[in-house]
Amino acid sequence: MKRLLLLVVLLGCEQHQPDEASIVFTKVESVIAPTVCGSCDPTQIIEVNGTGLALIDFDNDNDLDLFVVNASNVPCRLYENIGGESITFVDVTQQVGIDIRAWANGVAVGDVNGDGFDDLYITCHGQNYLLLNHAGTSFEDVTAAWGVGDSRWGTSARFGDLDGDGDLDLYVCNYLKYDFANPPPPATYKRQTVLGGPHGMQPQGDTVYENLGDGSFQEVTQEWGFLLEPSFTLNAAILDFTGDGLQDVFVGNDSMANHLFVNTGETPTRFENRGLQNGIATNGDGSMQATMGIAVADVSGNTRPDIFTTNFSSDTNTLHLNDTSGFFDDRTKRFGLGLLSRPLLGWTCGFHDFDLDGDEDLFVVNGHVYPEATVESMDSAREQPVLLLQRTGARFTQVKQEGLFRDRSAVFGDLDNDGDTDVVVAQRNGEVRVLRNDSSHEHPWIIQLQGAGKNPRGLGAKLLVTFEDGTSATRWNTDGFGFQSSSEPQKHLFAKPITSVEVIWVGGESQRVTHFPPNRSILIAK
Amino acid sequence: MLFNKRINIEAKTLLFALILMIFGCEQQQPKEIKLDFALKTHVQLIQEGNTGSARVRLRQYMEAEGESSQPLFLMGLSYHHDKQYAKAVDWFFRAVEANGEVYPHTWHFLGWSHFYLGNIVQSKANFQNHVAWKKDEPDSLFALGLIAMEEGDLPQAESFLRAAIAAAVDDVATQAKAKARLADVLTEDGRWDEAIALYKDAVQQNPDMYEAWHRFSFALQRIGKVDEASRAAQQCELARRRVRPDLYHSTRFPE
Repeated sequence: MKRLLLLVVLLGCEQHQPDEASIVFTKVESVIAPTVCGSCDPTQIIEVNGTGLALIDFDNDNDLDLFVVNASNVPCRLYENIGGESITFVDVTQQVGIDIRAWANGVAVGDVNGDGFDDLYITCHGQNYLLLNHAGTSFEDVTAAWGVGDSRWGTSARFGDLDGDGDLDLYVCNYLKYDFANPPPPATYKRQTVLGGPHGMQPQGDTVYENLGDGSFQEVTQEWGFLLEPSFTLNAAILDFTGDGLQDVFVGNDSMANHLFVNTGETPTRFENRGLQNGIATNGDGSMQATMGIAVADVSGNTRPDIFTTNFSSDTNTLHLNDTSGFFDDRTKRFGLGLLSRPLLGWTCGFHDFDLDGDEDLFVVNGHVYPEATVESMDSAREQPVLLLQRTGARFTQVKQEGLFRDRSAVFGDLDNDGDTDVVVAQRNGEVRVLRNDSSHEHPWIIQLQGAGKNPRGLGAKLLVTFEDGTSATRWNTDGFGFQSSSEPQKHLFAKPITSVEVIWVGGESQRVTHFPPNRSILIAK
Repeated sequence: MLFNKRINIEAKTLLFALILMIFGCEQQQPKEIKLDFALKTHVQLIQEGNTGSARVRLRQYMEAEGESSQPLFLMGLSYHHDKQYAKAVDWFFRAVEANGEVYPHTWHFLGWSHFYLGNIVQSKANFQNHVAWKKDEPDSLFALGLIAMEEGDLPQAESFLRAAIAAAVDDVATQAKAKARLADVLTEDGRWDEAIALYKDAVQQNPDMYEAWHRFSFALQRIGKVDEASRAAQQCELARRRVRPDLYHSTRFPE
């Protein structure tokens, strides 16, 4: 009888499920056209990465609008958020004079001239584009005048104040040399014939531009120490990873070692790649991975930015904890983030407190690059679910999501201004899904930052938040580092009453706020 | 759909494993079942990487002799060898179910196949089955240690990995990899000196273990032994080129 009781107890434990209703997303109907990137069933590597998204409040009306990138000469589109609980977008592409018809892949959002209106940088196979936002009424192609028309195969791009002079410099990730007239031969994966690349192809170096502050950029890739042997770069994150107040650059490469360019603080500006020494170049076993997505959060609670990356199927995603001594330790297993990701091929990922319970959850979009992929043939299907992981204490618990998709990019923000984080996800050659966060929560405490001078969004700033119950949280003001995507830093949402906020701006200047207004919302201006 | 059905069936296997764990202590250990001598050639073909030929001959064997646990197991093993784990699971599962008889090592390989597919619950249940059948099976104990790490249960991981090391008296390769993973567990607690001693021991036992060389190098780097770290990193690179030349060739990703 005792054994039977034990059996019941054991089985009872196995059947315990996390509270799956704690994070709830509802798909909202929208007019957003499906994305296009080559043919539906790709035969070439140029087609497989899909296209990016950006959240940008282009007209400064305090809601987040959506920019959708398309390849194959299908025009990129800008959708204005016209507000409301249902999150309604209207296509304003023509109205604002955007006409990008190219093999476009990614997009970055940043205010390059510091006029308070965010601009767009679009990466392409072929010349990239810088679109200057004229007070939210129109966009002008200023690529040639500003000198940022890199013509290699651009994937992701990031804005950040790399030299600490107050304006936004630009890091452009480049993938490989692809010739439409001379595509690579097929390759073999798990005994299946698949499209060729990237191995056997020629990687292309990244490009770093300094914003000269006079309406132009200057390439400084070599001068600032970024000129390495080229890699298959897919993504990058600009942030102070070493805790010295200076902006560093983490670079994610496809099946090659990742880089961590540490800002040495010297004059003239110089960066050193310390990826290998610091332990972030590979996973803990020394294996080079296929880094697509990058997400940053203080997972360990030591106020340093830890780095989560998404990778290929039959490999695992990787979480590197940023130790205060400057090393990154692969702690994927401890947080239960490894094995569950093996059947998935991950792309954009993001840490956000979706359920407003005080800690950050993790959202990962997935989809295989090979149209032939099935569980039977490659241990991984072509269409895959979103991986949503709820932070529960020291671990993450999977919250199962319905549906199978060929997702690539995602952006995160409060689209309906109801105080929680919604998501927009784009498939490769498929539907763009607007997912409204319908998790139940109380009205949160909201912090917004306003930087000074030519970085009005305060990109790169760090927030140290202390709550009434004595606990604390660390957040960073970034664009989210989505794969080929960019989310404008707009709101930081917190579940608990706040007693103090310390903002550390780029450069190390610190500002402390201890008074919080009754409406629970505060704008902290530098 | 088929996959879901299999998961449901394996949930029953998990239940069976739990019942075995609780009531199994009153049962005698099943005796070792030797692989049928008639299948010797098939095993050899798989070991040599001629998995396609092995599968043709196994099908011929089953047409003649009927399906039974051992040829079905070998079908699974051929796909396991090819790192096609979903297919391997299908055959291993048929082997477990065949004619009411079990070739016990099927649990072990079923455990690894599920592991590589990311099915942690099924993987654990099958390794537990294997260990319930043979409690000192080192590689299954090692796998249970890895699973405990993934579950965030570091004391349990340490316990399984120490048991694997103790059980692998005559199995240097398993002992070495268990020591290296035990070292990983110790680094999680900041026990760097103990970890470094274990890494050192592990790579001495098996110098081909390039992942352990890498972790050894990083641990040395962590405690400021930069020159030693550099030497270990060089050994890592040499071992990797020796063991995995495919990583330097033109396939897309390490499989």
